[in-house]
Amino acid sequence: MKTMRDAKIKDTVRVVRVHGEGALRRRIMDMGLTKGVEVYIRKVAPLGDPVEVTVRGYELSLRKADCELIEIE
Amino acid sequence: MSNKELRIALAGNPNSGKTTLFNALTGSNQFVGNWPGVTVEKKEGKMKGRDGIIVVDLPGVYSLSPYTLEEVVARNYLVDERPDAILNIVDGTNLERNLYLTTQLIDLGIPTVVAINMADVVRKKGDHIDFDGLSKALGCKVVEISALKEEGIDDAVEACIEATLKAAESKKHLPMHSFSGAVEHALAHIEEVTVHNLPAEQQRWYAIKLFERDTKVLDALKLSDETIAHIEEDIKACEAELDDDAESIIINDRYEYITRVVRKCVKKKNASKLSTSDKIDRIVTNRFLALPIFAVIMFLVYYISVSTVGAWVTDWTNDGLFGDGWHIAGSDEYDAALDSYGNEMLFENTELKDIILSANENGVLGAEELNIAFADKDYGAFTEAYGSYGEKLAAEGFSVAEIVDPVLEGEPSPADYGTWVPGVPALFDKLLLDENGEPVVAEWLYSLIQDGIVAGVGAVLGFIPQLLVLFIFLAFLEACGYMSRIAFMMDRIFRNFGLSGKSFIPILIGTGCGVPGIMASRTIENQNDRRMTVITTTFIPCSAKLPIIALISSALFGGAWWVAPSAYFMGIAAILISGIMLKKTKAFSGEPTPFVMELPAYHMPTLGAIMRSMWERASSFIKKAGTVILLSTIVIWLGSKLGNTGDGFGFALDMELENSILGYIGGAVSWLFAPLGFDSIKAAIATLMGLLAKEEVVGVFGVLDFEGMSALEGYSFLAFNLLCAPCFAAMGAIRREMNSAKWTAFAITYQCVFAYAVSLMIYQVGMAFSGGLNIVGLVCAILVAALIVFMLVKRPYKAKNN
Amino acid sequence: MDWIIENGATIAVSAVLLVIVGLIVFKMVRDKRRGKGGCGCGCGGCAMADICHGKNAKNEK
Repeated sequence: MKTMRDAKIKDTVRVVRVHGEGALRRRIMDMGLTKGVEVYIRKVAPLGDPVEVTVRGYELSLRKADCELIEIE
Repeated sequence: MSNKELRIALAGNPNSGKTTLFNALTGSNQFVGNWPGVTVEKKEGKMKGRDGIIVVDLPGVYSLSPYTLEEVVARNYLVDERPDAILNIVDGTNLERNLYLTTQLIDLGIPTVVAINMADVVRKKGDHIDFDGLSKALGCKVVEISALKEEGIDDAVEACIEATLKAAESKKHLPMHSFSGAVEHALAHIEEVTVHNLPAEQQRWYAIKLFERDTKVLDALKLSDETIAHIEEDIKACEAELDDDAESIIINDRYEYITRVVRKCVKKKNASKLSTSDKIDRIVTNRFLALPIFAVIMFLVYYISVSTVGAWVTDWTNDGLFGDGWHIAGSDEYDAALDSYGNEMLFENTELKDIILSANENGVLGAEELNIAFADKDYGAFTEAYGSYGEKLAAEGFSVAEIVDPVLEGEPSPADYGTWVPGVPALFDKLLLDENGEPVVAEWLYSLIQDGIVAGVGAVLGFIPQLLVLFIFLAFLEACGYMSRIAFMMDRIFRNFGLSGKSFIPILIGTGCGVPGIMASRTIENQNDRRMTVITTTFIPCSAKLPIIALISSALFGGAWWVAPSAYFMGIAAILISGIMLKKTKAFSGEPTPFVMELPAYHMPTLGAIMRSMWERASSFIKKAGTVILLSTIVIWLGSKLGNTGDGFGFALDMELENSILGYIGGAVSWLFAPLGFDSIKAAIATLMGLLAKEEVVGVFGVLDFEGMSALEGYSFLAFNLLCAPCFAAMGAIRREMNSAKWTAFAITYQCVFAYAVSLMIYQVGMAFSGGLNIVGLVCAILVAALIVFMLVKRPYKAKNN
Repeated sequence: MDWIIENGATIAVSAVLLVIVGLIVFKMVRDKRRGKGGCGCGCGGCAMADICHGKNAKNEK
């Protein structure tokens, strides 16, 4: 399974599904990271984590650990 | 009847401008900032200029899920109290995610109006929104507003009223959005078996929530096990058909619907070039530059407000407005007159020169300053140094009072030169003194007013210019959007050290005042992280601590550029070190909170908003000086004049501080501070009074005269007062947030012990380097430092079964 | 009587001072009753104002 953690900076990836459970998973999906959406990996914070991505036209930051929950094509 | 009053709830994504709109509608002045999560509780206000309309500002949410605190607050209000209408504020620059919430709001069955905010920004980008199309697609009215410029807001309210009337006529209104076939089928089933007895317009929302297996709704409806099992079958069937879980099905479906709507109604100009936000981001969150830039910004904030602009004006307020007075013109003449007077009366005096020289050779504190001023023949500097250190010299047997005091008495009056405006104390003198310079009132009353109230309150008010400058900077930083970038950058550091990047937001608010800072910790989901943030937030110097910093920096360091910023960075370091240490203990160990946060676009705040925010803070500072501080200056004055007069307890104007009540109290605790270098009664009293309000520290020195300290002692005093337990108001906030006496006690004890340890290290190590080595003290300091280092590198606590 | 005339100024000024102190105490007690804490930053400008003196404040006590 390929996850968003494997994606590189300046990649555009497509989400397949979000794993995990409960609040965190719901939060990730509520923020618009749902099936089929395109995500552009913008940059990594100065110290290597979190990452900043563009999704549905806005900027979202999330940790690499949370990126692992997001399966991509 | 409540029917007469129309309740309009403002709902929308965080940072979409709800509070700005709320302020515009109600004319109130709520706190607005450019980062998600500024409003944590709901607020109500009457609409300005229209009777019978109540506006409710809800915390910003991305969804009506049952998980985070803010979402629950918003959801409970909407579901349980059902406002008459919802005004859904939508950030036009970010339609997709904002409209996702809109679909959920519409499902609630409450008349909803969508207000597209920041539409001007959208247009500037060259995009076009088809409002009519959007309105048709969503099935509710869509209006355009600018909350910032207060445009279109009346129309939005009008539309809400209309919508409620329309809803009252037609009763059931159906959302335009429908889910895919299988989902709608299941929803229809669920509606039928569970919620058909609820009002028609509410059924759909409950059905969807039951489909999502929302635990809060399941509990609230008290369904029988049989019914739950029945609907579970429907859900399972649907999940099998669509190969996903129910929650994702709903979320995906909503987003797909929204994507279709937006594609149809918004024409995007191909935005290939970088927006301004991107350009700024590129620099301030650059891999290598980000942290230095943050450091430089905070350095500048403190440096400019304490050491430059603020200090110039504060010199005037302290020496002019709350001092003797000031010259509008002709100050050069006066300075020249003073210098020639000094040359004639003081600097020719060889006896004086010898005393100061030998005092300097014996290393008496302050003698060096006197010596330099003497050599430079600088009358102003000499008298200032004499004022600060005269007593120290006398105590060491180098009294110059007999020579200097008569000279000071006879110095030329500034009022005789140029245009002289007397200061506040001089004005009081005019009222209270007769032509011979004798008070017309009793001497004790004159002393109470001048030495007590005017000196104490004046000392505090004198720092207002510096605070105003700080407040302007804070208002700008809060409004422009940099704060969430800082949280983004700091997350990595903070998480390594056990805190979430989100913990940084309370800390930033705490720069203004610790109380809202502590309360802002509510946005942190994880209990342990929240507790830790509450404990550490007040380490950051709040605006009430700024006068202490400014006082020490100007009186003991000659306004050195590094003192004020160092106080801020000491606060940050204290937070990081405490975070690491506490996280290693059993009580705080655990996984870090997730960090999924939106980074809002930068925007230039309006001048008016910044000025309002500044004035709001400044006026309450002044109010505080006029109430709490004024009362306590009277108490301090009284405490310093009552005491042992030599023949029993009594009142004496010329009471020695050591014999007064204050002296006994201070003396009883001052030994505690001896290892930290400031065991004088005044410093002890100031520290104690600081618990009442941090401004008191400066107020006490106003009443009791500033105590001459060495720079090292002063810095140690500063460190202790910045880091130790906060004021009572903040302690109250800690108690409310911790909701436990045990945790409150722990927090305050930890803060005091930590402050003590830091001051001890500063003073003892400083002494060792400056030649005043105290073996026992240094060993203690090294032991403390070793303990801290041990806690920092120690392996974190892990649960046994892990 | 002479004493009052001699100390007229003192009495007048003390009276003014007492009135000011009285007003401050009165205001502080009233604020306390209304649930306004001694928050140094003024509560209108505070993001959490509702907690201190909204509906919730009463429930808490």
